[in-house]
Amino acid sequence: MFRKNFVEYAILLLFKDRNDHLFSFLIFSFIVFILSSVLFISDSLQYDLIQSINAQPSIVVENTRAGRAYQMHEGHVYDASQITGVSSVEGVVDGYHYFAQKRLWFHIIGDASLAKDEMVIGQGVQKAMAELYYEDEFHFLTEERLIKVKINKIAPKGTNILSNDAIFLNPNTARAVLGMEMDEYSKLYVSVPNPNEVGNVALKIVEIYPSAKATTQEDAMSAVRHVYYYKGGIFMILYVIALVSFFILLKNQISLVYGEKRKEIAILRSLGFCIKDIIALKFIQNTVVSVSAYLLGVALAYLYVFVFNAPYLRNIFLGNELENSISLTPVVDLNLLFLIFLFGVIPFLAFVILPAWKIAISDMSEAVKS
Amino acid sequence: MKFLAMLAASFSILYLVLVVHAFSFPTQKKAEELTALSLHVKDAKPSLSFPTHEYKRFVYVP
Repeated sequence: MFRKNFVEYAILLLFKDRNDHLFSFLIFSFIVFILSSVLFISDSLQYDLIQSINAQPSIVVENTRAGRAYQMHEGHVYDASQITGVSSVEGVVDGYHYFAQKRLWFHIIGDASLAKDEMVIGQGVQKAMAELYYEDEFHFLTEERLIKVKINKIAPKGTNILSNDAIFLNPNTARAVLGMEMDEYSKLYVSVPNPNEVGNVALKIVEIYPSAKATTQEDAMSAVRHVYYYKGGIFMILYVIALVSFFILLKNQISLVYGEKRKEIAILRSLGFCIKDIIALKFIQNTVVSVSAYLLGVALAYLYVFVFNAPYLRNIFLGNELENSISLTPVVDLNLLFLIFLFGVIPFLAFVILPAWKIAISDMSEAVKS
Repeated sequence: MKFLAMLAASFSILYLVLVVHAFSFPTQKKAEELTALSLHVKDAKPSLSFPTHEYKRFVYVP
């Protein structure tokens, strides 16, 4: 069936009818491009977040009151450290500071390795501060006073996924900025050496403090996976709608085009082409169109996401209130690409070959006469 | 056949460039930077900047 001359003839016909195929090629490429781009961004962010969660302590405990985050104190630290299986409990300071001049929220994180009057800031924070000429030091305006802190270092670009909106401060300075008392903490890091006991310890903490939320490392990882899971996103619904609309449009267009080419098909039949040959001819042409469109769509998506760092589309995932010059790690999930191929190229061929088959089996004598 | 061969060659070159880019990306350096940061900030949260929390829900980010 796929002799060399036959394939060449199919390609020759493809060139002759290139305008008819151009529409489906462009639209299909665009759909694959958008779909692959979103999945590439999502996979890359997920990869970096999972990597950072690996260093997370066994359990993170946060307190709530009336549904909102609430401070913890030394009593919480003591109670948690008394639970069997717990090796250490560390109280940490963490919160958000409103930078009213730019209407932005900065993430304040306590870091005991820093001196009281110095801080490390993320690149997004640096840009926002620099716009208001805070180059070497920054003034935190709190309810009680103005706190001057020297900008010691800028976090490296590779950590922008976590540090872009972050300000790392000495825990005591962080408390002063966030309006917390000296013995208060935002959350607790609980270390449990035996991984089999982590679930049990988390349950015990919640038993002691019913308003507290104990998140294990496993919970944090599954939350990230769940959140970025492609099936769960509203985008997936949009893709399905876009794909179905495209295939309906494609079927209508191909039916119309092939209807106009009835005479051509009738001539081929009268020359000795059987139905199988006509279908093979259309199959070769549309395989070239759909596979090329798929490969081009995926390649363009890679370039857009990992070379140009996904301008505009990135903002949907990360927000654009604070400029984020993140570099996305190239993570390509081949299973997902195969899935896109399976649900893109195969229906594409089916929707194209069906009208060709319908015309090939119709009465050819009428078509030749017309 | 010549056209198909040219098409295959073009895509092969394009994908080869992408593979070279993927391998030349400083993944190791970025991982080290993230690990170094995670030692200070153990409970890392993604750095998001949406005008309000409702925007986060739309794009399914934590």
